[in-house]
Amino acid sequence: MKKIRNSGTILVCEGTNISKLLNRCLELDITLQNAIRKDAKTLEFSIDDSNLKKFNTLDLKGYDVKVKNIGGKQRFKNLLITRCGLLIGLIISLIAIFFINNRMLNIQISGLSKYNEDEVINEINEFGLGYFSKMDINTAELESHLTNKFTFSFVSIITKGNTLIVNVKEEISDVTEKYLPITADYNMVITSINVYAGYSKIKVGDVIYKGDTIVYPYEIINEEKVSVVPMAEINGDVFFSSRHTFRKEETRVERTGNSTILNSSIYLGKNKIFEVSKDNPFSSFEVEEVEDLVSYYFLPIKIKKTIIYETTEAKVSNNFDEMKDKIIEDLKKDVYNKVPENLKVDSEEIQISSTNYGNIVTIYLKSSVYLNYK
Amino acid sequence: MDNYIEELVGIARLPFNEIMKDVKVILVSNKIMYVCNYIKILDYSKERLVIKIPKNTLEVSGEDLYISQINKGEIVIKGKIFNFGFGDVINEKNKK
Repeated sequence: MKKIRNSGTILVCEGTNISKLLNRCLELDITLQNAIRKDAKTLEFSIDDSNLKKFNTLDLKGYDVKVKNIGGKQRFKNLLITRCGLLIGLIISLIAIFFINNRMLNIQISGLSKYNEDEVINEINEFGLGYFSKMDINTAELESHLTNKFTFSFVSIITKGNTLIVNVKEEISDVTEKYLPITADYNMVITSINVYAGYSKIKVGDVIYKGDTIVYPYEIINEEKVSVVPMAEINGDVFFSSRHTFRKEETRVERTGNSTILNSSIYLGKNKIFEVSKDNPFSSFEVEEVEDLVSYYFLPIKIKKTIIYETTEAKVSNNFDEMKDKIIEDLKKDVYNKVPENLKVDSEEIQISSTNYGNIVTIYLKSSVYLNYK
Repeated sequence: MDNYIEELVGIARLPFNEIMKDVKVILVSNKIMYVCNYIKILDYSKERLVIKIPKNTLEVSGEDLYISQINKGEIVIKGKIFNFGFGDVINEKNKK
């Protein structure tokens, strides 16, 4: 007997001679399923689409046939008819998504003060990039176009989704004519200071930091501030240092090479929609979080994975005498890199101190600075 | 199914052509009955189902009986099958 999928239409027939109805169906070779005799006059059965067509050709005088549940293709047809609006909406949405995908819908401009945002947008439009135009543009060309048209010192353009983000920095106005204070270029200790014009509270021996004002561009005459161009001769000592902490014993954590994914989560935007977790099989481990963006344009779907790596801990003993020269060499490289090119190193000092756990090696460099503002 | 019946007919040394046209009844446990080569339904209720077969009738009695699948020549009956027999066997037994 051929097996028939039980997803057909369910009919309920009422009549005096139900057996006769069944036999009429058999004469037309109609296959029925789950024919249940509800009571003496009622028969309920399931029938598939092809057999339903044959059933409709039967002479059903004397029987009251009711449809209990529509199934099969008819159900799908009915769904299409009743959900016509939904279907049209779905098609329009798909067309809209297809059309607006990778097309510009918004322009964000930041950093403007001198120019109007509309002027920049007009210039972008003149470049050939308007709303709903494709986003596959050469940003470098647009950047140079805007830089040439406006007095921008810096233009950065990035595309994110359907938005064009324009960051600009307008050219700084000429400040040479204004009265500017004398400021410290380095962290230093003042060894001598002679102020010829301007106002200063700094004395010999004061420690000042990079950016601090040494001489203000004004003088106080009769309790009133009078702007002047500051002039001064300043000498100072600048110190540079670099430090290394040496440990006699260290605990080194190394990965064994075994790893497993502890947790995988799928996010739609910020909402977690799916998560799979398992138990941690390692006693000693390191955790690493990995995030992959699956899709951005249609749906912001992200996959977050928590990967754990098995680790082992090993205690290592270090000999300071063996490593001393290497440490000093590395520290010297580091500290000399901190010294600006225009400064000369006057002296160098290496300090080694002992602690309970090892040693601390520090290198100090001293250089003199002479600043003459006239 | 037919292969199994062919084998059975071979073992019993019965005339194959005659047997294959005759009614065949298979009962699985007391829950499913398969009847092949029947002619028509004579009576059908939850407790009793009478089927016309060539030269006789087949009567099945039980509880919550229903036709799981039916087409021309084949019928599958499900439910709690207590008894079945040819002719008016069940009624005669009840009368006794």
